[in-house]
Amino acid sequence: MLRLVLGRLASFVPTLFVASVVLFLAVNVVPGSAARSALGIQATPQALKRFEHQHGLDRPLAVQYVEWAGKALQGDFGTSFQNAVAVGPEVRKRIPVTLQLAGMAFLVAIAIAVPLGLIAGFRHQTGTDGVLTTLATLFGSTPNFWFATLLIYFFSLRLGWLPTGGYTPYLEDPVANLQGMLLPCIALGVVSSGLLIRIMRTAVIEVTFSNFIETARSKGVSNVRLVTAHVVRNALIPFFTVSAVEFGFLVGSVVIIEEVFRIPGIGSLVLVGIINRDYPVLLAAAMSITVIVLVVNLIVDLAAQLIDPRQVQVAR
Amino acid sequence: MAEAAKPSGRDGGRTLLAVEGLQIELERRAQPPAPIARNVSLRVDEGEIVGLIGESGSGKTVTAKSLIGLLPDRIRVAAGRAMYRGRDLFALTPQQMRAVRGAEISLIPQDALHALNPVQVIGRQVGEPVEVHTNRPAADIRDLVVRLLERVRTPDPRARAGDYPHQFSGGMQQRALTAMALSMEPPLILADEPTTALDVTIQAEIIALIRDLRAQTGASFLFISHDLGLVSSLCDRIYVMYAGEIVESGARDGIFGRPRHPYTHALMGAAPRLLGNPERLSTIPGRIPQPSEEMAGCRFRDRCPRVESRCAAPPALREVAEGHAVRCWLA
Amino acid sequence: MTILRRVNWRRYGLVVATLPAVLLVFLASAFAPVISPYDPYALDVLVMLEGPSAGHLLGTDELGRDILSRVIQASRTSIVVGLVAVLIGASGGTLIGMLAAWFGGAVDAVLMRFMDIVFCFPAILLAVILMANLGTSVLNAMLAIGIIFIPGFARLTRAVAQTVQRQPFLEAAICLGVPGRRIVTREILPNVIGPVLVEAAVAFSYAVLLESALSFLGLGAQPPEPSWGNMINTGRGFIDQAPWISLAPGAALFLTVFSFNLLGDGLRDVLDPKLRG
Repeated sequence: MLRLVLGRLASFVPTLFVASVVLFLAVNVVPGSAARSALGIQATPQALKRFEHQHGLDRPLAVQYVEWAGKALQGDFGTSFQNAVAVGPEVRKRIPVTLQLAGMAFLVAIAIAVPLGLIAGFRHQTGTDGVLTTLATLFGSTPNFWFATLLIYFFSLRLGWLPTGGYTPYLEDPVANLQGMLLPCIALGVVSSGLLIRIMRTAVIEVTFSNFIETARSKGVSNVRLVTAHVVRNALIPFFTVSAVEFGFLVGSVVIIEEVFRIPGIGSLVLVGIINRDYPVLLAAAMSITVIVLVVNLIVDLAAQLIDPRQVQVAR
Repeated sequence: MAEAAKPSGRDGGRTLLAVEGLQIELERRAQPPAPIARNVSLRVDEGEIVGLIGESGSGKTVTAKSLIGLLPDRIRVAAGRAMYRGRDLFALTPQQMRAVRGAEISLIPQDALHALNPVQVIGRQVGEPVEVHTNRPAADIRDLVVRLLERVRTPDPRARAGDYPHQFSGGMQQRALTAMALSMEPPLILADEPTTALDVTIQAEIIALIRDLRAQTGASFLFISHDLGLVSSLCDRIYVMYAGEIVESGARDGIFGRPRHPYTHALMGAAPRLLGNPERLSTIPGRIPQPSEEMAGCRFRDRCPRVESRCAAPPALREVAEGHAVRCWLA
Repeated sequence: MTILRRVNWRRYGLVVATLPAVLLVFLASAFAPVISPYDPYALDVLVMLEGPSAGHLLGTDELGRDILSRVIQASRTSIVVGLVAVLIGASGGTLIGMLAAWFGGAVDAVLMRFMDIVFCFPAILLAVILMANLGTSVLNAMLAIGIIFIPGFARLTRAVAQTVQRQPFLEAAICLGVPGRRIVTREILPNVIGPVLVEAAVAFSYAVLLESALSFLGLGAQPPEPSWGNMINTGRGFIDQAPWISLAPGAALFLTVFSFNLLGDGLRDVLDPKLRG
């Protein structure tokens, strides 16, 4: 068990390293663009030089990366080009907001996907299956920013039930917090459930064709018990593993949804970094999203292995 | 109930299950259904082990599974009766059938590894029929499971009940499935090639186990196999199935002492003694006809070494000696 | 080994059903100037923020431009970005996947590990960052989205190519010294094409979605050039008085993505699903 966790952690470190390199390169792919964007088009060459030297941007990329990564590991993400404020605390303040949003949205997605996927899988190749599969494609095809706009229009502006956006910390006012989170979570969750329904459906179909399902039926097990005791747990193993990928997609969509609902999370910080060409901010925000995705992948992977006794045994 | 339990059979045992005129069909798109079992009649008496043998594709497994309503999609019982203790199994509602499964008639499936739920401990699965059919408390069921595992000779049953299927060897998995089938002490157990995936020494142990269990519990077994060698040592009576039809039936000694059907002859010639169990009987040339292939006359004709002109007409199953019936013109 | 032989014609229904919608999108973008009732850039202060009417079927925006004409014009951006991005992703990914499968060993390990990590990134995040660097333009949107598609195609191609390579007749051919180039072009590539096509249909719809998202955030097509994404974004400012500004381009986007996804589903049914990695 412990070896299983350690093994996963061991592969997590190189992944994190390569991911940070990729991200660093993606942000710095065009040399010299940082200074130009920070100072504007009319900046003099001398001013550009001075800016680059001041922020260490005139050194080789490898040196810059090592310095950045070394500090980042200690929680120091440098200071903003824009206002010389330390980036680290700003990021740490925003992470819980994004985690709450993504986590609740993922729960919404799972709450939709598991039952619908189960039904579609059981009614495999029937009209019900066809309707549900089409519904899954429909959900998955919905542009989340447009869906979010529609939700605001109906529920906030027309019906006046929920706020159009903004964020209240949970500890300050739980009710206001949840009211504000509801529409963003629905916007993210419904779209994400599209793929998850399909994954669950496929997993269920595979399980129902297993011999042990016939064994269970030969014992006189009722349909309800067949599902709860035999199908669900087996189907959840592949479901969890694949749903981690969908969680990554969902966290990425946070960039857009936080913008639409004016939620001060990491996603909106990415946009702030981009609009201001504030590379330390952008890098820190993007890196924290990446770490969130990787950690969730790790957790989901471990969870899937824990509910699969075959995997646990191998590592024991 | 009482009227069906009339005395019959060689040993004076009473009839437990009587299948008559069973027709099983595969439904096809835009075509008439293809018969998989044709006019099958067979009988299992109380305390009897009856063998149902044939190559894969002969319809033996489908025949057995039809009795507990576990036919795959698009395969259905088109005609016939299966009288079990005064009730026709084919006329039961799904709820009634569910009450029969596992409690009255249980199944020992083939391919033990895949027949067990990989994410549930063995003990839970062995005790599940009792959990489903009775209100006995969980602690009772746990004790029963330990006794059942002990009875099928699982070493250290109390600890092993908490193991997952992949921690059991193939032979142990098959024993666990046998224990599962016994858990409600059903009068009839369908054993669907329970030894196919096992090696020869473990096969022999399972066979010995089934023989002992019959002696202890008095349960009847319908033992499905393609292996005449196994059936010869275990079964009281034997039905030989070919291409959906019963081609020969009788007491073990009658069939082994004097097989009348050329197919039974061929099976005995092909019976593997030491070298595993090839599913396909290569010593008989040709292959078993598909359910969809319509053949006039005897369905074994194409592969029969003794084929004659009268084989172009379908032979009837007729009694050639007491309790010994053959579907062949030459018998 | 041809694609045609793998076709299960009975399941052709979904493809046929989605074809009209797919064709409509392509035709609308191809003949945009001809079928547009108005000039999509023409301002008309007399009809600002007007609801749908006989004159303007989908209403007008805050500058009095005809929304229908702009939705039609914007379809061009979406289609072109989608096609080019998929072309970049499919060709790059297929090349990498086939290289990984063919050489195996360290080449395979390094290439695919890298692909896995890139695949792990939230696509929209990567696209947003790339756009910030490359600069906001439709051309760069194509490039950024295309790059994001490479790992998916690489994984798929590698899986299929490996399956094909493991077939006994090919192993024999390789042993007999049949030139590698011949095996790749005659045996592996034809088998890869089917699954890549299916993936391309789905990737296309996703590219359209991503381009709209980038434009929505102001990182893609720049005003006054219409794009479904920036039209939806503009409409948000007037959502209370004139919801149609967001509604119409969103519906066009949604229906395009939906029909291409259904087309992908249909193609997947038609081609043997076992082929997929």
